Amino acid sequence: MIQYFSLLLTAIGIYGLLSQKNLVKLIVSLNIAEIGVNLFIVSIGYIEKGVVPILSSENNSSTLLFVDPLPQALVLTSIVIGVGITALALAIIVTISHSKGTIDIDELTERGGAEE
Amino acid sequence: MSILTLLVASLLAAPILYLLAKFNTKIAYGAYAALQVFSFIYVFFTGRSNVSYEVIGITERLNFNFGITPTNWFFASIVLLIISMSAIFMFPLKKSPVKIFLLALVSAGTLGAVFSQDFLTLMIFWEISTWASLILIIQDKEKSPREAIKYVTIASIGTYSMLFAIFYMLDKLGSIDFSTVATRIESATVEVQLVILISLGVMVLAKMGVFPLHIWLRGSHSSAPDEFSPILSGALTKIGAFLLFTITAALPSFRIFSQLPVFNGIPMVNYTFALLGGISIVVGTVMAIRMEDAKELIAFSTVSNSGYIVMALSIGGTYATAGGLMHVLNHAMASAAMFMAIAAVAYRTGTTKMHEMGGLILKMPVTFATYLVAIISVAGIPPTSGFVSKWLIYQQLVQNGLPFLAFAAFFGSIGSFMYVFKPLAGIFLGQLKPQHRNLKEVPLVMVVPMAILTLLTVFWGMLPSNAIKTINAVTASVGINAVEVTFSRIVALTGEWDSILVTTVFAIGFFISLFIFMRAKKARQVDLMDNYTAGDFLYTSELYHFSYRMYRPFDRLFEKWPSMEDWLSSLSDKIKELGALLKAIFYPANPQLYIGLAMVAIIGTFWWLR
Amino acid sequence: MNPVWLIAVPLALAFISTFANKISNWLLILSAIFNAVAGIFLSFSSGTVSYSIGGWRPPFGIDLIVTDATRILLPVANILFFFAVIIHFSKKRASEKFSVVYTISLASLNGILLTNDLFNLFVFLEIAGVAAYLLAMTGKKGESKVAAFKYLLLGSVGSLLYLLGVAVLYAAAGTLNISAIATKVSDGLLNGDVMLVSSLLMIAGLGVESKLVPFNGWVPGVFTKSSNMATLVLASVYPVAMISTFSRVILAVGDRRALDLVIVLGVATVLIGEVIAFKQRNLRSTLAYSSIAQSGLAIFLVGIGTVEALTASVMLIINNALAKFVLFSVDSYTTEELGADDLESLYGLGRMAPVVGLIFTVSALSISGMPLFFGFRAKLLAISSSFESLLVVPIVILLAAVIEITYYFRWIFALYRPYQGEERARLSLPLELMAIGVVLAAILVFLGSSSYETLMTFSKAGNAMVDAIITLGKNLIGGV
Repeated sequence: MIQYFSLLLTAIGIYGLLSQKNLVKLIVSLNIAEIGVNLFIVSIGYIEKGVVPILSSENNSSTLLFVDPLPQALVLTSIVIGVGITALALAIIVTISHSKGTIDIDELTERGGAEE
Repeated sequence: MSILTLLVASLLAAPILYLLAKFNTKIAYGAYAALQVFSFIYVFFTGRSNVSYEVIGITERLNFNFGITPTNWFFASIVLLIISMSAIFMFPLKKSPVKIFLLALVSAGTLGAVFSQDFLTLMIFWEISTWASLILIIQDKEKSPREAIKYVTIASIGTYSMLFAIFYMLDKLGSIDFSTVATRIESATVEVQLVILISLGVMVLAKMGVFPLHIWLRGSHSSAPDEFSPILSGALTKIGAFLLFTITAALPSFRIFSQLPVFNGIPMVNYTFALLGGISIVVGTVMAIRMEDAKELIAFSTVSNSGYIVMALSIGGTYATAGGLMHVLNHAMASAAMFMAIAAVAYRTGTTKMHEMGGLILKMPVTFATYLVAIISVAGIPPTSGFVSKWLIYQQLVQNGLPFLAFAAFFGSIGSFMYVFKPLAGIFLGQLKPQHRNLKEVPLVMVVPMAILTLLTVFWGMLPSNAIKTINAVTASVGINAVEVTFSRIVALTGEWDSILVTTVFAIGFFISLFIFMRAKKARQVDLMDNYTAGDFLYTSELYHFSYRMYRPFDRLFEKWPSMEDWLSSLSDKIKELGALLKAIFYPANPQLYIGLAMVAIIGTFWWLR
Repeated sequence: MNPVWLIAVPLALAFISTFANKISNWLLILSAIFNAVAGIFLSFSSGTVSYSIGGWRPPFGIDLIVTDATRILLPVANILFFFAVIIHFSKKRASEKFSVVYTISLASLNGILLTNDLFNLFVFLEIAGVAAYLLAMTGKKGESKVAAFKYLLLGSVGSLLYLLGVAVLYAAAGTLNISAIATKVSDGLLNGDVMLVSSLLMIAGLGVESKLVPFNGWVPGVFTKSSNMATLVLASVYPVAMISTFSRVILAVGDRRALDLVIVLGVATVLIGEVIAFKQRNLRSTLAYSSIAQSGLAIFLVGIGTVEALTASVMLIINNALAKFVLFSVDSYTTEELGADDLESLYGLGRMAPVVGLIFTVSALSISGMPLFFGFRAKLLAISSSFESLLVVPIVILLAAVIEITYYFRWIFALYRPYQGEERARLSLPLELMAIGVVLAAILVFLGSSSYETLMTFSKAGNAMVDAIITLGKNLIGGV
């Protein structure tokens, strides 16, 4: 179930990417899509009634159902990367707004933004 | 020594000559000429007897196959003759290291191409000489890049068409060398045969300059450096004839297409090529008559003569094949001689516009004689060799009963009188221009090659049996009947041609007219400005030159004809428009559009592939 | 030598240089030299070797893989990067602002070429991406920032899709190791629809960086607006890593049906790239679209998937990298010397600066596939192997090649045409550009004219592209 929600979230993010005009909002949409994907990855490893995949004094039987730890590790990495990209994107937006005076994508691409 | 050694030597000669020319251009040009003359002599005298093959690998499946068969020898001798003569001829002209580098590459590529035993080898070496010649063409004249770019496109259409044919052959027949393909193609399906021969045919049309791929010749031949035009027209287009001969005669195109519709004994595909040849005879002739620049005129005459060759070799048969091969020889010599004569004139006068010259016959008699003999040969008048080839082609046209092609051939013959006479009259006859009073004949180095080509043309005109015997050996090697010859006579369908007799008659006629000329009243030399002004002031004297718009009435006839020359540039405009459209679709300024496009692509392909 | 150093050394040096800004230039040079030397060192041996990282055995931990293909591509990428660095620092006003970025991009590109783990690849792609976005920003005008932002947007969406594809594949295969997944794929253990979805997502994701239509909208903007040095790296070094990784991943874990899509998209990329390039009036945008077309050429061969096709693909990648390096450096040279790079201002350049003309001509002829040059050998193989597919594929490729030759010759002619404007002084060429250009041109000529035994390295690489990963996977599973 959560997988459908996460994919829905991704779809919402992509819809935002396609419809928003403000650069900051585009980045927000990108983040929403990213969260969707991250949720999806976590949900892959989830097992119903599974326990934390750490061997301890209580959880030490090999018959126990462990949750797959790998997706969690992946998501951690991908969240960090997402944060980095967001920061970079915001920095670029700042320089754009300094040099161009606008952060509206239509205005930016109209004003000499067209490729050769 | 083998062909391979010769080939490697001439490839390596390119960088060496370049470096040599950096120090001394004269030595480099001398060495180049020596190498070419040596190659010619070596190939001509040793290659005739032995049939040998050599192989080196290019990829895991493909090899370079070189060999000397009678066909290779025949074409190689012609091509090397022209190149070596031009190599001597170009000595006094403007030299540069880049030019000699490219010239050496062109010669090496040509050498490899005429000795090839498979299609890939032929294509690779041909392409080497093509790209080198492309860069060579633009060296001297400012208008040349615009013209040469047409050559680039047409040549690459041809080349890639051939490349397609090669790998198609490899895919369907499992081989690309001439002999294996010739045996295997017979058992292939008609579709395969058609694809192979048509795509190879496109290469022939492109490189020989046959309608509708003739449009590059005018610009490239005329704007090429003067010393290179003879090679371009005399030697490089003849490799096209080599390929054509290979696909029509060596691959038995007549037998394999016999199940397709046949017109007058000629399969449809061959007939189509012959028809294109016929059209280019007419187009080339008409356009040549209308040209004002001597080199452009000869370029169109090349179109017309390539048409003859394509027509002859496509309709095949005993006489046309022999005639076509003979025409290859004739046109190679004649067009090289014409371009050399024009180059010689340009060397002295600095122009190729006919109405800026006149009366040079007295100043440059050898050049005049060269030009005269060459045009007589192109027009097909005995006692030059040009007559014999056309005569043989007519024999076949009569035998097969092909009215349109015969009309085209006759039209080309008659028309060639008109166009070749124009430079003759414009440049060599008439009044000498005041600024040309002090002209001299060109130096001996330029005179000798012109004289050799002229003498050869006359020799094979007087004794065509000599050339035809050789050609018989070539045609015999691909299984075509020989033309019956004796020492002085050629026997054909409609009768015999006794060249010695005709030459004697011509010689007698010549001496009679010479006698009359000597006895007649001496002509008075007049100044150019002396006669037709009628007291008027001359502002643009060229308008009064009688060869300026010499065939104006004829010109007017064809003025409104649709020009085929613009199809390439309009195609280029179309491609640019398509580029603008594609750019608007795939590279819009707004990134959201291409994100959307990407999403649509993913979802769409999922539906497609599922 | 463990190839992990190729990643670790530049990363460590980049880390140091964030704190020691003053010496970051030197650290960049140091890492470039190290990687170039190590790359060459790596190419001496042969065969497929897997190096596990951190003591975890491959199906469980991350491993780096060195195949015969890597042994060619890695040195080429590193040496070209080194050349780019030399050209960059030979200029007086080379700033140290971006040195860290270059160092990081070097580390990540090596990571992309070496890694055998899908998620690890994602991480390196992101790092390379971030570096590339920053490099794209280095242009003088504001437009380069907008172009960089577009690149970032598209790149992030691409890597998002790739990540999604990896997640789907992980859910089905239970491992991220490419070799291990490849084995399962070849044994038919995975559900076809799952495979298809993940392949499509990965093609889209990797397609952004490998310039596949319709995911490559960023290319013209970035290549034309960014600074010279950044374009040089992005146009010659990046594609080596990106395209070869595309083929590695898609061949190993892609669905058979998706390979048809790769052929279609690749051929479309070639055609669209060439047609648009034909229309361009200035050199750099021509080269940008030509890069797109060349990537398409190298990628559609992946869809065909035979050894011959992959050999051709590797050769095309290398040919494109070497030749584009020269062409883009000539372009930046002309923009600096003449102030423009449109057709008219290049008139007669080959006569004013003969060496520039020579190296430009050799590279252009090699890219457009003229015999005697390396590109011809590559194109010959490419066309030969394209006959494995439908007949329309070679026809379209050849049509595109006609267009390509025409526009490249337009530039060559512009360089050599007789120039009759005002007399321009003979231009001097910086020594390092001359040396590098001549070396690369000589390599192109050498590889183009040498015998076929010399090119055995490439067919070994093609073989490795098809076989190595899956063979390794079989051994791994056997080992477990």
